[in-house]
Amino acid sequence: MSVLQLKDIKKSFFGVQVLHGISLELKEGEILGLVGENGAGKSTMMNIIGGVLQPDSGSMFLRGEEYHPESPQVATDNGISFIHQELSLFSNLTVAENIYIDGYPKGKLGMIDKKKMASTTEEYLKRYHIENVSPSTSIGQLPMGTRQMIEIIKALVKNSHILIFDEPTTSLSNREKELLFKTLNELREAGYSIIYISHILEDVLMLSNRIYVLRDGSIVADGPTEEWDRDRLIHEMVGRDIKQVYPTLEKTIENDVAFEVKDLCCADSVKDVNFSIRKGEILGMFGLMGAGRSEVARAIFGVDPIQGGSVVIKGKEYHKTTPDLCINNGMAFITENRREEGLMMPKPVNDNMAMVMDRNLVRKLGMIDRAKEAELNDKMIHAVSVKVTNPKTQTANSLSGGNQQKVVIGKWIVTKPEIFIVDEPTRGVDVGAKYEIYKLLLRLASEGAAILFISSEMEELMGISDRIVVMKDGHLVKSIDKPDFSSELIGSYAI
Amino acid sequence: MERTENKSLKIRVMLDKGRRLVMDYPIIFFVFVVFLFGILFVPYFTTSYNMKNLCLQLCDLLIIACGYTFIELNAGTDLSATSVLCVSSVLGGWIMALSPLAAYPVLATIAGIATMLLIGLLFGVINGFSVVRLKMPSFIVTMATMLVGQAFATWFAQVVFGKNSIGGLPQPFLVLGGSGKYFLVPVVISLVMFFLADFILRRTKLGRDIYCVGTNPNASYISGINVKRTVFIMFVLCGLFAAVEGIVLTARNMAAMSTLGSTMFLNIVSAVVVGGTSVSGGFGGVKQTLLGSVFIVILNNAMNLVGVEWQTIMLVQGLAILLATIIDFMLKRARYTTRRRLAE
Amino acid sequence: MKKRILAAMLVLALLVSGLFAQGSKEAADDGQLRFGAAISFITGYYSAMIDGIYEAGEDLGIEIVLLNAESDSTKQNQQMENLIAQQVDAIICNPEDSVAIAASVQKAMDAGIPVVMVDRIVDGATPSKMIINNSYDLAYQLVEEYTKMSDCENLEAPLKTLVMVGSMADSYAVNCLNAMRDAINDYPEYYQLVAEIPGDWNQDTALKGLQNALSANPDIDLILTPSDMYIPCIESALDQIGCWKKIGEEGHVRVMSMDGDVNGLQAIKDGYTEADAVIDAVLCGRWGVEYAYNILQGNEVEDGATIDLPGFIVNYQNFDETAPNAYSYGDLT
Repeated sequence: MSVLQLKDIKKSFFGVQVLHGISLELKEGEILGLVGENGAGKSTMMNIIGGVLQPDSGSMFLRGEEYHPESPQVATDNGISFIHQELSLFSNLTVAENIYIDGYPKGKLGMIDKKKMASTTEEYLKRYHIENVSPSTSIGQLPMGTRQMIEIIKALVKNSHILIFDEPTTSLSNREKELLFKTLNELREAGYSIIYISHILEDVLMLSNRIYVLRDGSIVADGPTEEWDRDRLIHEMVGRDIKQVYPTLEKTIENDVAFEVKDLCCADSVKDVNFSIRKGEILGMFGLMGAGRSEVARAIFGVDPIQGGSVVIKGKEYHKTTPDLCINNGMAFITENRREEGLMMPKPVNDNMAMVMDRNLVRKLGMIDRAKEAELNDKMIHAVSVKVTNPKTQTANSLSGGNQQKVVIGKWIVTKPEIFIVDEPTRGVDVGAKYEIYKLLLRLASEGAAILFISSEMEELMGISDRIVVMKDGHLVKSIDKPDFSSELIGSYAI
Repeated sequence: MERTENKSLKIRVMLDKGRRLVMDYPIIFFVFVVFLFGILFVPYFTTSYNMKNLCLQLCDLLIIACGYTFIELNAGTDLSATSVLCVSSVLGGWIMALSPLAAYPVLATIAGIATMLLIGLLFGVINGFSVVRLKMPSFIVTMATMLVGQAFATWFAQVVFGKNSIGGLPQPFLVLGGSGKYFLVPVVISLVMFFLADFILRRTKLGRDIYCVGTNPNASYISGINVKRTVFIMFVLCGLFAAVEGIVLTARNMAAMSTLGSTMFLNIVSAVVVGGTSVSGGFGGVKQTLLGSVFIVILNNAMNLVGVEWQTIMLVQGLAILLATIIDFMLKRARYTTRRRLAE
Repeated sequence: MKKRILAAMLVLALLVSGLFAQGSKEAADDGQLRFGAAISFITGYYSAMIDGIYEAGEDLGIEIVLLNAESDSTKQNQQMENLIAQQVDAIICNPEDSVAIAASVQKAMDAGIPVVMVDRIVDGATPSKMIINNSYDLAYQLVEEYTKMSDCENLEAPLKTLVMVGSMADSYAVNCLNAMRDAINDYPEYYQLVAEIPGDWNQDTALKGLQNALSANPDIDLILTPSDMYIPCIESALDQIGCWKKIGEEGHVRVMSMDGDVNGLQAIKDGYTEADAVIDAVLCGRWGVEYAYNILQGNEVEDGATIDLPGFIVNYQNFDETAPNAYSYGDLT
């Protein structure tokens, strides 16, 4: 019996197609596994099911009836619950209060019926074998695994029949994991429908009845779990995408080390990372979400404070960095989040282009050499081929994702840096612009730049980099040379 | 086919230009309206005496409003700007009229002016430091400095003057207030400050930084802009401009007053906001503030001359601010949402 | 660049057209006199004074232009400038700040506009006339006369006294304060000064100050205030500690005030306060207009002389004889 059906769901953001027509079916009493790389479109799809986003086209059906959630509340009312990676519990409230946070049971005179809350909570706690917890225990005292169980109970109390789990085991111990799986199986037996999203393929293979593989906004493969194995899963997730062509450029990698990172530590997300990049080399950095790649970049550039280790830029060692320092030493940082950290969205292209270069254009009295600024702006717009009619007035907002990214790149290459850190430079960028960005990066490398290329798309890393390092849980676990590039190999270290 | 495409493109570009003019200076229309209204319907509006008044009353507002524009461009608040006025007024007044220096008018004037500027600098530094280093919200910090300043000025006046204000300021200083034939002096001072502010904002790196930080401080930081230093300087500039205003106002009133500026805050913010500088930062400038100040001054002057009651004047001013805020909000939405590209 | 040229041209065009329009835009000179009245702020007392101004204006056929400075001296200076621009025939001036107003008074006098100060002096310029009540004498009289009343026979100890203060910018307030201090000093058997409360002619400030003083000194016997505008604050503060009682009731705190407006006299009539020094606010306003008129007619000289405004004391014992002479008597309930 089909409980949830998606038919040809399409969604695009700012002109970039993110979901290309997803069709999916969830049956009663089953666990559906959903796998896919970062950026494949999983969260977008879940957000559409959950009423956070509206699809551009396509339809959804809940037990055969049309389902158009205009808001998350509608989704909840229809019996769909999310259990996210970051749990939405309030650590200062009790178990019972959290379970009923969305609607306290009312007794006479409209007062909260605390007794009912406590008794129902007690019932569920027993049923799911949660020991040493009472309805009045504060959430803050409970370990992660137990908290997750509370989240599940919260969903059950709300009469949800569809539970969607997003990377549920990232913070769990093995024992807690076992308990979770036991619960999931019990729920399945009881007729609940579960969508299980995880990058831990063994778990998906163990738990699910069927698996869907999502890649680049499309379901590329699906089928009963018996037909799947780990290798085949990775293969489908990553795929050989014939659409994307990677430019090639003859370049030599010099022996000089342009840039080195030694025992870098930053908070909990970067642990003793070591690597170096030579002039003319493109070093790819792969890892899953939360592996610590962007954190490494931010620590290097001084956006987050370095707490241990050092950075060696052109031979000089630094234990503390700031963006100013790095820029003065010929570095550039293209962040993964151009909207928040790369561009001034409501400002014209020219203003954005000038952000870094202005520091070099200061003349007497602090005045900016506007003629030179205009000249360089023009040069850059052509150099990165940004498609814009009037850069003086057209805002960054109005550009496509690819053009926006080109503006960010243009803004940085003006000062001719020799070391680049680029983080997800092709995210939200269409195919054509992607190619041009690859070309740009290769050209920069051929002119002697050292590039740290962080990405969650394995193909592009393999297509562009000279070497790839893999991050996992904050550690740099492996360095792979070009001859050994293979998606299975790289993937196996990351997961 | 191509020609019509070109034409429609040209029209779109023109409309875009027109839209941009209104977006940058939304107040222009209203200023003309109120000026026209004054000329046509308000008695005595166009007399030379009144025109002089208008200019001088503009000076009373423009300088400090320009200084406040820096703060507004960073979406901040500086409640202490008005306290700079009263503190600098009483301290400067004391030096010029009651201290031993009072016997030497020119010297006293120079010392007085220097002191007043230092006061502005002091407020700016304290505010800037607290916001940048101690990471306190600007509203809280400047409210504190405002209260301390106001209390100090009141206390100082009562203890040292025995009353709220004193006269007897040296003649060289009074020249700055534009009495009689020196009418142009405060006008020149305001224009100088205005052009200085405009220069900073449009032509210097500091100005660029101010706009960048006001729009997106994260992106600015990563692009190597010294965000902390920029914000700090903004507060210092506001303090200094307020001090200059204190000098002009004290000279105009020919009295050092501990109540100077206490009710001005609304007018200052009105001038800046109604002028078109966005309250969310990053957009606007002193040209807008000039227009806003002109608008407020003419409005007040015209309504006074017509004999409108003060309650009505406040009502009209309030409505003007409301309208300006709505327009700003609509503009903000227009700026921040993606528009289809004009042409690829 | 282009838009700036456009803007400049438009402004120029307007200015030019303005100059041409100037001639016809001045109010027709039909012989009607127009006086400007620049008032500092509105209280019961000043309300009555404004009534007096309008009354006199009506009687003499003079149009009155009223401007309220809302306690802002800079604004008042600007308002004076605007009055001068309007070429009013005379200005009745009640300054927020006696020192700061000097510049504007001088400007008006220089422009040939007579200025008559009402209720407050100007310090630093010579106006045409000043209509002032000698608040020092009146305040002193208020405090002194009370010692002779039956209330003060057989006092066990000097009355613990709170003195409320107006604004230090105001000569009237300063005089009242000095008078009250002196009188208290001169009669130590009757009075003991416990605290002075700065009110700044602002009811909020006064209330808070009073509340604080009462917490620190709960056994106060007498409150002196230079204006009836503080009566509501006094009522509120005393009521809070349960001491807003009529004369003779347990817990009654004595109150004496000045101004003679509705609040003040009503409080005496109802039995809550002891005395009120009435200064004829209406007369003050009337005289302001009348003296200015006479100056214009040539019947008076502009010598900056002070015209004394009379005052008398109304207390709860002589209420029926004296109160009817007060300007606010007609409004009492």
